[in-house]
Amino acid sequence: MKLIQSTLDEDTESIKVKFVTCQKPDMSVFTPRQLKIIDEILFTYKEVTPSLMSSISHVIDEPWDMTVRKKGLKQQIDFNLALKPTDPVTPKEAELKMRERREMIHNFPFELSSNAQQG
Amino acid sequence: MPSRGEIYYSSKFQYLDGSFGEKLFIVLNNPKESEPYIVVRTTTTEPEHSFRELCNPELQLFFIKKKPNGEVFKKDTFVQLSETFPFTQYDFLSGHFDSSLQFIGCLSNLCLRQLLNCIYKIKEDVITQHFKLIFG
Repeated sequence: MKLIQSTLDEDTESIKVKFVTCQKPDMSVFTPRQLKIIDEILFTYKEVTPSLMSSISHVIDEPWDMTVRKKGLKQQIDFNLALKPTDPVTPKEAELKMRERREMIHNFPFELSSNAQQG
Repeated sequence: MPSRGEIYYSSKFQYLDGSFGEKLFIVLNNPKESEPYIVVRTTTTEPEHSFRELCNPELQLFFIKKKPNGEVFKKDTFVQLSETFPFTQYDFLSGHFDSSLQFIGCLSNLCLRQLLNCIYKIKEDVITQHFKLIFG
């Protein structure tokens, strides 16, 4: 990844920085569903400026806002706050899956990519 | 070395609260040299939702009911399909030598085929490179 400093954003008086990949990413480390989600997010936000993106992620009654109100600034956002009541996974099930994943990585500290293991 | 359908037992699996317990893993592929083994883990914890024997794609679980004289699964067991993990030959070898990962048996051919069919049904949620290593 390269960072290229480009123009000055006159609206926000901040310097724009462009991220450029130096290597083709290995997309096979994702599941097909994850790839679809990435594509949807890219399609939705590809024209959005960083300042607007920041505003979107700080919307009232969404995870960031809920965390600040409950725990204060700069505290860890609970992943479960992203779950909606209509989602098929309950917060308890999601927490269990995340805990089991952390346990696996703790016991077998492998790279979660088979290519990485092949060097 | 391990092969597809073999079941391994970890007696020193450490949980996040610091306690140690048992964990079973099932090998899903016969890798070529330098490729990883793809494994899934099991649990005896019942899901909150209703489930049926064998494939539960909506829960990403494969339920193996304990058999009266079952030699491998002494309890009702849920194979967790929500995530597959790559184990290296080193993981298995070091586990063998320090007795932390021991071979305890194999799935029957029928059960293995049913498990693989179940994984195929949820291929949307299987890491692409793992899917290729399992199904070729």
